[in-house]
Amino acid sequence: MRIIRIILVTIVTTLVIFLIVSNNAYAIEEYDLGKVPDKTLLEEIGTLFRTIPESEINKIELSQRPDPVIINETRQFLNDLEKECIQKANQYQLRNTETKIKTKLNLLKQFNILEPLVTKLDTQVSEFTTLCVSESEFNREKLRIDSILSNDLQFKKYNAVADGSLTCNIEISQSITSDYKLFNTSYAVLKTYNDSIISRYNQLVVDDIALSENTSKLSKRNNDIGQITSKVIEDQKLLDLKIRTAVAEKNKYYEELGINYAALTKQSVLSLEETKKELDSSEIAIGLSLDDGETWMLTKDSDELFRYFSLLKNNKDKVDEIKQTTTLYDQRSEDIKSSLAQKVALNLVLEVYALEVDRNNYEITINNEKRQNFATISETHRLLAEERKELNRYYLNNSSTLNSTLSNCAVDSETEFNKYKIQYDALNSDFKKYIDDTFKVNLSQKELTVMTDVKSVSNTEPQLVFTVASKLSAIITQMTSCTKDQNLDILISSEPVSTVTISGVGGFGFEVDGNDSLSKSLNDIQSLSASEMPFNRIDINYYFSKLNENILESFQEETLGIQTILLSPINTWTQDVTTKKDSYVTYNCVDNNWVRSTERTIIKVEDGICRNVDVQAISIFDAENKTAIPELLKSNINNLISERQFKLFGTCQTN
Amino acid sequence: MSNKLKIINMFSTVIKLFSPGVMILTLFFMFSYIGVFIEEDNLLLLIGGFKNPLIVISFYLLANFTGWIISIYIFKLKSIFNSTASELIFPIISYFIIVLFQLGYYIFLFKYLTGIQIYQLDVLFSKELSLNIRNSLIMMIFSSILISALFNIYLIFASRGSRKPKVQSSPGMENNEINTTTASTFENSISI
Repeated sequence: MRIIRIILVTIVTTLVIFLIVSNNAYAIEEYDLGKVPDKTLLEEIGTLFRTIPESEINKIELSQRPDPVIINETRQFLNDLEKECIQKANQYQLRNTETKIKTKLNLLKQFNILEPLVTKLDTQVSEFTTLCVSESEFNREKLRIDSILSNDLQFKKYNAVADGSLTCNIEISQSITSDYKLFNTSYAVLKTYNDSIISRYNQLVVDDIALSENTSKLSKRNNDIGQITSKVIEDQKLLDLKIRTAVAEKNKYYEELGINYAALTKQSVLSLEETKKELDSSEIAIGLSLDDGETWMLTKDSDELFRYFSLLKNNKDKVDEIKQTTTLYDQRSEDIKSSLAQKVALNLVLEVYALEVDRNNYEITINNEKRQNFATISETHRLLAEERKELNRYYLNNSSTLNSTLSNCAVDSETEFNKYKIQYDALNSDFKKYIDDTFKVNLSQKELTVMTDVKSVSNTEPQLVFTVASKLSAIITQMTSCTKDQNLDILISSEPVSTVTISGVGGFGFEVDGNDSLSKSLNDIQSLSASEMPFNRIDINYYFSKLNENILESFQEETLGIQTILLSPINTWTQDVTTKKDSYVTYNCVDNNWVRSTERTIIKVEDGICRNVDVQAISIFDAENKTAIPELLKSNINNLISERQFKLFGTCQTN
Repeated sequence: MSNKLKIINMFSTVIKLFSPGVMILTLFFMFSYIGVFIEEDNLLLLIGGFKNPLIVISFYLLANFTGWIISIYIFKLKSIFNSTASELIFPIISYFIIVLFQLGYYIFLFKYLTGIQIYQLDVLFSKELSLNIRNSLIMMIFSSILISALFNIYLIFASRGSRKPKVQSSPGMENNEINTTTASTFENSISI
């Protein structure tokens, strides 16, 4: 029993390990088979790198020079990249590792001998990283969507709103708007990625079909060639028969020639080879042929030759017969030659067809191998594409729920807003004015648009409409009910009476040429005078007299000498001050209802916008050196104030 | 009249050009026939009348010499070498005609003696015989060229020698001399 248990545990453990490993393997295969950077390339690069002479490496600038451990480092980074890809690390991590690898590869690219291999590896790394980044991005966006969809409580509410069993409220509208945006943003990314996976799978299918069609075409061509070849072989057989017949006839004519010659002379006839042999070896001197060299007669000397010629002359009929037979013999020889030539041509045709069949078979084998490879890859892609299609369907269903929820929320928000809008429209003009003024201050621009433009409600996000409706509801409640002793002042009109523009200065700066201590003293006096002012903004004359007094105390009758003082006004500004007449109406609460009681008017001063004014500095120089410093400064500051019409000393303020 | 004279002159030149060929062939045929006469075998004409090639070659050379001499002295060949162009062209043409006549003679003779055309017959010789035939033919051809060249050179110089006084004479005299030469040629042609 103990052994059986041990075996069972071993089997289960093996299965679990196998499943984990196969899942991981599947994860790698997802990045398209063969796309993982080929590490053997790096090994080849390493082998070549080690062959580069040190002198050549040392020619490169130190900062750009690859060190001996560069291959190991690159290998390590490649392993990191793969690991990060499998672990679905974020895109920044992946890109960072890719940059590290590329930096190393760029150093190696400097050597011409390594350049092609490094470029290849570089491309593979880029493709792999892009794929991993897409996968990482896909997972990130999937997690976001899943986190939205996994909030069951919230999703139940969305479903309820979508099917109309629950009315949308401001909380639901806020969450649905946010979730809908997040969902759609993430879904757009997922869809792009899914589409690319599906399109890749479709491309594989298209390629597979193209290969299949090509194979069918080649097979058909092979069949056609088979039929043509059969016909050619038949023709060859016919030719063989023709040649055999011609050879037989030729032999017959040859025999006839021998007989004809025998009729002329008792001497036997010989073939060309035999004649040559006889001429070379024996006493025979002359060979003669009347049939184009087919058969030969031999003569020892001129006497015999002359006798032979005499025979020819006296046996003209036989000579004619020989000529005729020779013609027939030649014709058969020509027939045989032509048939042999045809046979050679047919053999050539057969060889050409055989070559084509071989080529086609080779291509068919390659196609089949590719298709088998496709079958493996496309199965992986098909599973992935199916999974992604399923996921897409699931997300589309949820997207439609969210969409319906949002649409219903928009309808509900519009209904809610219209309910309060009707109440608002029923209010009197004073209350409407009060609400409008309050909203102008409290509502955002978008909310104000909802309030002022009824048509915009249907196009505005429901949560915003709900917000406006809620604010409107609160203020309308205030307008329609009240508690005892409560008053309400409503501004019903505001008219400007007059507007005055005032100018002011924040102080004066002194800079004595070549005399820093005098500059410092004058500036200290200015700061002291400013700090003694009781208000932030005060009449310029009050400040001026105080400044004069302080300067006089310090310098009395002292003159300037050859020095020049640069007098510059600091922080000069202008501002429009408007006097307004505001009319208010007071409502008192009587029996929980607002009752208009008194109307009053208030005169109010309203400060306008502060505008900075640039005033040029004045250069003070006493050529005759007769005037004392206080007197000199007094007259110049006075001139400046009257010229620029400064009324106030201090900073510009708005109420 | 002038045209007629020109035609007659041209005809006479052609006859003169053909004369060495005709004369050499006629003489060679006559010499060959001596052998036929001795042996009483017409077919000997195919090998020049005698079985011994040296005799045949000797008669051939003799026929060449005699033929040229007869042509020069009877047909006044000198008169056709009246310009540099004719000195270049006429020797070549006359030799070409000699060869042509001899080939024609042999083809005709073969047909006449054997009853078959020469080109209908294929012939193979033993090494020794083919060597002998080749040597004989080379000797005959070169000797024929040599003899022809010698006589032509002689004719060129002889014609130039006869033209020499015309160059030294006054322009007025030159015209008369030309007329005389033309008249002489015409007279010679008539005499043929």
